This record gives sequence, C-alpha cells and structure tokens, in this order.
Amino acid sequence: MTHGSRLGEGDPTRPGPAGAGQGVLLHQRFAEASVTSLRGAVSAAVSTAGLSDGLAEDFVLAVHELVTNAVRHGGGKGTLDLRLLADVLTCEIVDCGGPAGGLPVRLSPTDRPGGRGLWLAHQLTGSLMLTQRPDGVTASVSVCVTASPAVSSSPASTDAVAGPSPSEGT
Amino acid sequence: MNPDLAWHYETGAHDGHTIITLIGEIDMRGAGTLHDILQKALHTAEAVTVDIAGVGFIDSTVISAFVAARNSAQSTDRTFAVINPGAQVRRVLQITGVLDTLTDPHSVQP
Repeated sequence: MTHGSRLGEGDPTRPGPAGAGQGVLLHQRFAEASVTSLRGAVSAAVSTAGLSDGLAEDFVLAVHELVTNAVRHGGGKGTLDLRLLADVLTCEIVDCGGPAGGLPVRLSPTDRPGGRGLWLAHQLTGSLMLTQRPDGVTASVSVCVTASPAVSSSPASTDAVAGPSPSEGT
Repeated sequence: MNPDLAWHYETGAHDGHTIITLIGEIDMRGAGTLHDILQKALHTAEAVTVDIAGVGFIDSTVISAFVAARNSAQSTDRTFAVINPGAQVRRVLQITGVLDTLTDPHSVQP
C-alpha cells in the first residue's frame, strides 16, 4: 500500500522540518489530560495505515504505555511522533524529564504494584528501543503494517504470522 | 467525548461479599480512582470480586491497582479476585504474569 502523493520538496511557502516530516501520521504534544484522547488518535492513525486489528491493539497499548511512562516518570509531558516509512510504522515518544534513573524492562513479581509498562511495550511489539539522553528519554516501538495477512473475518488460518509472542514459561 | 467518562462501575453487596462491575476503558487517568474504590471496598467487605467482562482496555496502571488490592486483601486476611476478563484484557494480564494471581479461583467464588 503506497501513497502516491509526496510532500512537496522545498516548498518555500510551507516552512517546516523538511525530511523530518516525511511520513508523519501524527505529531502531538501530550500531558496527563490528553493521554486518553491521544490513544484514540493513535488508534485511528494506525488503523488508517493498514495495521490489522490484533497488531493494532498491541501497538496502541505499547504506545500508550510509553506515553504513560513519560507522564508519570518523564516530567509529566512529552511529544509523540507516529511515522509510516515504507511499510514500517514507528512511534517515538520523547520526554524531557531529566536523566532516567533506571529503565527496567522486566517482568515484575506478581505482588509488586508497579513496573510493568516497559515490559508490556516490549512484549507487545518486540521492538522497544530506549535511548537515555541527558535531558530525558526517547522511547520508540515499531511494527510492520504488512506483518500479518489481511484476515478480516476468518480466524481459521493456522499459518498466520503472529506478532512477537511472549516467551512462555519464563 | 469526555475521556473522564470512558468507564464507570457498579457495586453490589451481599453477606459481606462485594461485587464491583467495571465497564468501559480504563487507563492511567482512571487508575487512581479505581485504586481508591477497590481499597475502600476491602475495608468493608470480607471478599471483593471485580467483574471486568465489560472492560475493553486496561493498562499497566490499572494492573497496579488490582495488584495493590490483592496485596491489601492478603495482608488483612480478606479475598480479592478479578473475574471474566475479555480476550484483550486477559492477554495483557497474561503478558504481565498476573493473570493467575488475580483470577485465582480459590480466592472468591460468589
């Protein structure tokens, strides 16, 4: 699925980050109050991009967890960028909450109330990347929009390529 | 749409057993309220069951509220269980390793 139209190159009447803006489906600043509506916007955008339902639910939750993480631990706000380049959908969440003490991506003990967000984002996408900057954290997840066959109604297919499955029994 | 109204709950009680039915999509903006609802219920009931059949979305902060309630219940010798998770919610509980703990059938059976 390719989009024929491209952003005009070097159009002087449209100042902006040329190149950086390529393939951008969503660019939004967020804070706690906008977390829920942002999730709706991400959901709509990934659906339009052609991500199948199951993968979309996982991807949207992964993104939501990264947004939540930025709100709770990354200074209360951040910026989300959702891009589609070729058939890879990437969402980047940038916060400016200062240096992160630790970014645990592991399974929390069952009696520990917190610490599951990054684990979820990782398990749901298999593509979590965390970059610690001096002034905050850049987190991203990505997924291939053609990763699963377009099965609309019949779940009968047994050779469907599932998304990254959590390793069971660990 | 007001995102604050993305979910609601109903409470039923009999014989010291409280059943809380959650409906909607719950995320970090509702997790604090949910935490308080569950803790309050555990103050007054010997057993608390949370029916989440009508919940289409939870995140890690909601799981935290469930786990905290479960911990409170255990420390006060009460029981707490989450029942009827739908497919997506069940998957999230499974990935985070708390499905069995939270839905432990030995905890509460109405």
